[in-house]
Amino acid sequence: MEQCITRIPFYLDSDNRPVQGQVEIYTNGLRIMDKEEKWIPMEGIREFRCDIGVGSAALEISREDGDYRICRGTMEQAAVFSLAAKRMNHFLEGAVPTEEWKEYKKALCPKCHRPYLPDSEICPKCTKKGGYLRRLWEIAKSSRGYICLSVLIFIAVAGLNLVLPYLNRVLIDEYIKADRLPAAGQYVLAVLMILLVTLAVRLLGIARNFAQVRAGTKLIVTLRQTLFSKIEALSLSKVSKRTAGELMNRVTKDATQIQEFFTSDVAGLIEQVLTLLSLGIILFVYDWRLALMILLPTPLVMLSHRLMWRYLGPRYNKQWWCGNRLYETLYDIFNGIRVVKAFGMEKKEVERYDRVNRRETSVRITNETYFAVISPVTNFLMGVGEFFLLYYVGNRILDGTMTLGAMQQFSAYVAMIYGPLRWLSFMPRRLARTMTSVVRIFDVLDEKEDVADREDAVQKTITGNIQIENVSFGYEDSKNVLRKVNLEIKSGEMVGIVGRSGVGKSTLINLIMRMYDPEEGAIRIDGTDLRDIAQQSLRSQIGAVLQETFLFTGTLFQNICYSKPEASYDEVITAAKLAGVHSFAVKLPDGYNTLVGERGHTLSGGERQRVAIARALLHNPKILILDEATASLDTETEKDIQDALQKLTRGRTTIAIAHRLSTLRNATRLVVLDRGSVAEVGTHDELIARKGLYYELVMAQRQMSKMADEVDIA
Amino acid sequence: METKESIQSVCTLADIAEVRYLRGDNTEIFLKNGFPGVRIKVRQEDGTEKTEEHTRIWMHRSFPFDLPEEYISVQNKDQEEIGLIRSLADFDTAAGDILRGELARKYYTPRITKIVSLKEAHGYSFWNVESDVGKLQFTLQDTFRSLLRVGEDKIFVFDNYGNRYVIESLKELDHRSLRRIELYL
Repeated sequence: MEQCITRIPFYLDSDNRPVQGQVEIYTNGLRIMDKEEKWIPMEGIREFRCDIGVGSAALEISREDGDYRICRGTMEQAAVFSLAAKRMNHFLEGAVPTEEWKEYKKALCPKCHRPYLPDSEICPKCTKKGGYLRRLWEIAKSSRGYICLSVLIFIAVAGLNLVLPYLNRVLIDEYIKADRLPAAGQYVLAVLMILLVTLAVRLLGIARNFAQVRAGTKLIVTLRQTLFSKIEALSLSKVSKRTAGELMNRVTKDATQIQEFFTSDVAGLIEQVLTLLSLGIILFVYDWRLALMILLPTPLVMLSHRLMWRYLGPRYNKQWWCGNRLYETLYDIFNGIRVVKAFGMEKKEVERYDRVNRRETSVRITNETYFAVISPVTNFLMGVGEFFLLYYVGNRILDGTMTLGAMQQFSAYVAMIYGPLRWLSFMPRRLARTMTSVVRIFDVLDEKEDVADREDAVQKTITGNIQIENVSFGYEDSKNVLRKVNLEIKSGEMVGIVGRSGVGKSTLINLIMRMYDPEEGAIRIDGTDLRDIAQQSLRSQIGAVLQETFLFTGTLFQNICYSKPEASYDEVITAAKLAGVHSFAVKLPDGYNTLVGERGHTLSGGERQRVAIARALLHNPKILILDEATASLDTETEKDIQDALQKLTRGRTTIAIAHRLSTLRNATRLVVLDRGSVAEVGTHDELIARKGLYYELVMAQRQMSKMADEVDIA
Repeated sequence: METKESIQSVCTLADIAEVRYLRGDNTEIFLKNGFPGVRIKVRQEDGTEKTEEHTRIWMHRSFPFDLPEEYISVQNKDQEEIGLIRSLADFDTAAGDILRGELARKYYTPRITKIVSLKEAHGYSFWNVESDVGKLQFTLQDTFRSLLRVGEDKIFVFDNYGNRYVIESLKELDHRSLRRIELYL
């Protein structure tokens, strides 16, 4: 019996017809089953591949005699095919398949058979809600007291509101319409009671707002903090899966949504339900026929309300979207105003704006018209109960079985009962909106920290010997970016990594900085596996100047000190001088106090890069990483900074990536990567003599610069 | 005289770009293991002809929405362009069918014939439709942004996984289906 490695279901045949097929992969071959069965032996297969098209994906193999398509599926299967291809390539390279290889993240929700949201096991339709709410309650620990307090106050207010109509009735029946004249004192007392209750309601209202604000702020602070520290703890791969905007939304908008839910919706729900119940009971106890009459139209009211929103909701949604588009168009035109003017397209842009504007207006007018017609009708329907009441009560007052005060009381109750009903009819929508936020937040909170510190991770002072042993690594898709890389870098060495774009240079550096963990093999620093060193300890001894430099909003000074907040002015200026920041900083009117970053003074690409270099210099790291650190500088400036860097790199382990090979002239050794593996290692001279890949790269660049020289001369 | 000369020295964009168009008369299309391949006749500098063979090609529509059968980039394994097909009509039926088949596989796009239900909740919209490949259900994230109107009445629909669906003509939809989708157009 051959061992079954994995099973892959697929749903599309080569003529785009839906099928229920399955591929079983055994150690000796593949069995493909849809309408018929086919067997492909494992022998001769060179590679598995997932070919992702535009509306479909396919799992393919490559053999001596060409490519073969194993199976096809729609886009939700692309992830499964990719993973399968990756695992099978591992197998071809000699890895031993495990039980885990048989499992794939499910793409479809088992309940409703709709696809899960990409990269998650969340079904937007049937994710369970109760469990999440319980967990939220856990997070809300610190503000629970205030939440309970505000609920209690809500209940008290609701109770007092019920008392008021009763007092009114007493006032009318006992004193105003009384047969005998009441004592003046009693009358004043009754009025005072009403005043007191009204006052109590107002005061409680203030207290409620106070409790709500307290509960809300405490909750949102905890929630944002939890989310933020979670996001910061996640590895780069998990974080970069989501866009910055999306993460921002989760930390701010979703958290706010939940805060609102807890502080106003939960309390409101309890208040409204209690009001409804107690009103119902009072009415029924007093006169069940009357109660029935009032309650009879309620289903109608709720229905009409729901219908109205089902009809108007999507229309308002459309209006909102059109408004959004209007805003976007404007933003677009203003942002590109130079292009617009350069091509003389002002008129066309005015027309474009006009079109979007008209559309928005027409949708708005239609909606307002609908609303103007519909809302009086539903309002009338909601008031129908009161007409019944008037008729019935009027009759009873006439034949003397009811007092005027009682009528007053009932009218008030009837008016009160429709409020909660209307409120409750909105509840499903609010709950749904909150649930989306809750699910999204837990989606982040439940993410596994894949580059987590071990419990026994050590603080370690490193000297800078790096050993890379048999390291393989790939991002989410099927191809391994690095394959069995072996490399040893001695303390104090400067190693240059070269190779064509996309061969895995930056990936290798990311692994050394432990942004990711290798899938196979290990990286050791001074003999200790990276995974055993506390990340904070490791990174405090690595300095990096990366391709994209990011300046935080703040002063130039703050940006340089980012890596060492306790640095003295002297240190900062020395670092700035070495990196070539000083020369331009002192020319700025505000010097080192110049505001830079998103909204501040815009520095040029080269200037930013120099700030980043200064940052790394100040950090004084044991291991220095330069990822295209001087790429956006002109050759002249680069030379200056190179000299500075050379001083800096002395005695430190330095790993540098550069496209411009001349940048690496100081390197003690060069490592040439090709297709994820180390192709050549040696000094510049050795590699040139070898006439291999490096030689080709140098020649190609020389050709280019020769051409550039010729242009210069001409 | 001078002006005439300078006009002559200005070359058109097409002269510089050197686009190689593939047509039935210079390209043979064949099928291998279910994948299309090409044999292209190339005239060499010395005037002789040579055949360039690619056992498997990848095709990419330049204008997938408005010109599905024109300006198709033909690429090799390394995603380098081998040539450009100006129109599938430049090939005979047999060759054209091979190419169309591959395009249909890559750009798998079921045609929606009827919208059975369309519900919106939590910012997603849930669709139940009938199509040329049977009943389908899918989910859109941000409905407005997931619909693309091409021309007067053709609608492309993109679901949250990147699958594509098409409504060839709004006019051919039944009244109820039209009403369901109308709000998002």
